[in-house]
Amino acid sequence: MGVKMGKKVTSTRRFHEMIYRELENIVGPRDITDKKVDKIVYSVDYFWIPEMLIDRGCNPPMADYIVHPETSEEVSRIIQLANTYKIPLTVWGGGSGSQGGALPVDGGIIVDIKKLDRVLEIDEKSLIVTAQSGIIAQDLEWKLNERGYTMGHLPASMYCATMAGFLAHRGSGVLSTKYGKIEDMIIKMEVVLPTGEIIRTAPVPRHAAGPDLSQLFIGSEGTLGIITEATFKIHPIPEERRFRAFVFENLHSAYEAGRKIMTRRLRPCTIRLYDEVETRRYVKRVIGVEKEGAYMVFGFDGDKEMVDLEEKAAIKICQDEGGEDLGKKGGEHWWEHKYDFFFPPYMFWIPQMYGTMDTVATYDKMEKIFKELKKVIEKTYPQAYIIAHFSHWYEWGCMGYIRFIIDDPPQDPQEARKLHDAIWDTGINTILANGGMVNEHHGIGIKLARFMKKQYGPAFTVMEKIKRALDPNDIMNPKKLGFGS
Amino acid sequence: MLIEKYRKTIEACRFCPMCKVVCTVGNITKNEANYPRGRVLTLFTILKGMMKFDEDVVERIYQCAICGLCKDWCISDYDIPELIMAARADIVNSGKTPPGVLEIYENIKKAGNSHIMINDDEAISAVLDKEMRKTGKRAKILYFIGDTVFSHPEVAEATIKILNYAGIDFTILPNENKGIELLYQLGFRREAEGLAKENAEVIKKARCEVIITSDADEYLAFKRDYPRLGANLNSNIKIMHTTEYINLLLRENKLSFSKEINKSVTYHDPSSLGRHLGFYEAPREVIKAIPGIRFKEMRWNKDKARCCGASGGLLFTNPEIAAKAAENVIDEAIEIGAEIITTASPLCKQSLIKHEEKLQRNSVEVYDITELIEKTM
Repeated sequence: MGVKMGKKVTSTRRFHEMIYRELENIVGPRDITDKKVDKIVYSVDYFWIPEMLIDRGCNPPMADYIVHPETSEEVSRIIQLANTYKIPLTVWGGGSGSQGGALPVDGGIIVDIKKLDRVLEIDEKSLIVTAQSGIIAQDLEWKLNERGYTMGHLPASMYCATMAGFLAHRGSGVLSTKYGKIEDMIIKMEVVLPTGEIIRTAPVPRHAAGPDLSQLFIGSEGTLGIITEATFKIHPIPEERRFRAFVFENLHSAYEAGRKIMTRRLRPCTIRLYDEVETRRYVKRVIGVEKEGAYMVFGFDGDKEMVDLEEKAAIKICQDEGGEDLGKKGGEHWWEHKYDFFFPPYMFWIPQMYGTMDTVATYDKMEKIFKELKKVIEKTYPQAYIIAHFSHWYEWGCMGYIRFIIDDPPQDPQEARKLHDAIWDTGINTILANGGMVNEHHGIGIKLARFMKKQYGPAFTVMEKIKRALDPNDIMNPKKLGFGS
Repeated sequence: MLIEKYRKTIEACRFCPMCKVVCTVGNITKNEANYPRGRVLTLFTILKGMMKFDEDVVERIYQCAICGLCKDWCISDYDIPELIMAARADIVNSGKTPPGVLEIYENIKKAGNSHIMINDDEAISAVLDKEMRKTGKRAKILYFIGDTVFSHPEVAEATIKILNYAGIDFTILPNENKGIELLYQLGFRREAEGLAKENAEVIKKARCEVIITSDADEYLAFKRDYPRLGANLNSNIKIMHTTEYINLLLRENKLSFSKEINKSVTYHDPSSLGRHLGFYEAPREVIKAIPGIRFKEMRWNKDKARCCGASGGLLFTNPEIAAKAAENVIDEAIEIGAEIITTASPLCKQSLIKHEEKLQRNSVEVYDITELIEKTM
């Protein structure tokens, strides 16, 4: 059963000028555009499909208007207007999402929130920061660093993604193993609901006053409202942060070392383990480590004495698993170049077809998920190859960042799309069949929308009911997160 | 199209958002089409025939400071500034120059400068008559004033005073101060080439050995664009920015200071000198040599210095965006407690001093480095 909220939205064509003026009255003439030069740029995020369409000379679906509100009140008025005319509304942050979450697939209004970019308060007593949600993560981190603090949220996309984007997609960074994913960092937030009300969640996340409303909106991908302000935990910049690299004969022994570090309840800030193929193809190319096997880097931070102690224990575990110690230098080098993997020419790009099937599972399942996925994809699609790393480790399991790559995909856009979607079907079904999650930290968007019901089973009706209650006109980010698909 | 030459950059950057956080214009308008990814994606659609250089596309292509921060931020140095300049040349060559840009060109053609000031020689003569001992003579050192003398005669005046104070035998080109860099950056390559060649001829006749200029953009032009445009100067001629020459005078003890400046001073790196030419140290050494000065770096400095909106023609084509960029630099200077912002480009000074009220409110002054030195003489 799909969500039957689909009252037909207003065609903006007949009323285009009128709606434009009304939006202009809300945000001002400088903060609205309906020019094609802008709309085409907003029709492509970091999802392979719109990139491929543009590459092949086809236009992805475009918005009718793009607005840049500067206050929560403006956001609220835009949403109210969208409800009046029943126009689809899609939120845009940094546009770096890989799942198509920010794409205006049904046209309508794009609400670009990057002008909501102020740091409102750094509370040094409680170690929390409050900021508007459209701030680019690196800008927030710089502001904190000036005062001696860090968010501890350091994904490669921090140069371009907004805090709202991370919240909307349950993002995570390279130090998540210690500092947590974004959902672990949140204290409270302000949200503009799909009917325009501006609400605030509870002032602290640990309480016994009913369900945690912040967590309802985290991961909702703009389908349940627009997060306009958020308060996060911050941390003093640690006295010591140290990395160390090992190379193991095979993925299994490295995986076991990682698992033992975590189940021993050591507290590394990162563990990043590359499979043999990624070690050979990319670790060598990007950071120059010329070793066969599985490369693993881990790090500890905090007071020096604690780091000494924990690092010593982790080294022992790695040695016991047969790892070759590449020393501090091998680890520090990775830290210095950790984002290089995501710059051209190191990042995958068209003409290649690629996709990241980041999944998460308990330790007893993750190795099998990876093996099965690799086997099935490479067997079913001989033109594809799989690389992987494992980079967000929890007390109970870890994330597999498993990517397929095809160097020479079909040029015909329909054929390319068909192949792309078929690989995703095969991949996600394999992941789900083996106990993994449909996604770990990129979100669902439009790419994975069709798998949500399979992931959740009857539990998905809970989400559908919430969606229907909060967004009766079904205007918020249509077709995303499995709603209305 | 010239942009075809940059296909590798286009294919690398059309979908890449990794430099978003540093883009001067994008972080002011917040419009995705104003970030490097957006600009390059747009140019890709032009190459692909999906879009044309229509009025809106052209507007976006001129909304770039060509400051080079994106290139510098990128670990692979993809050269978006060069791509944007090529796109602008394509726009001009295809007759799609927007009226505002055409007006700048007409002003240059009519008045010899971009500052909408009539080149009746009076403005420049006022400075020269006051400060020059002799004009039109032959000397080893040629001071190329550049066309910013029309908007900032005080910089030329300070420079000439310093040269006179140090007893330097120099000459100028009283009637030939045509700058080419703005034309080049706006896409008027043929016109830039013509002027550069004219300038090169006149310079050749002057038979100088050293050219010094206080115009950072023309320094960039001499270093980067004259050779590209086939306007060849004698290869023995040494091109020096004023600060470089002053630094040399200081090192050789040919210039000394008689007064102190007891102020906290920061330096704003012009993109033309800094990122485009890697010219960072001479201005700093000169400032630090001034007695009494407490030199403070802004957090964003040298290759990562924020652009004040003066470059890429932005000051003329999109003054509101340029003003916000300048304000960002001023805010940074205020944050570190600077009482004086110095720079080494008259255009940067022009951009910064537009915020007169804010500067006054925060007791911050803006000077070209030459003016600062003038105060110590």
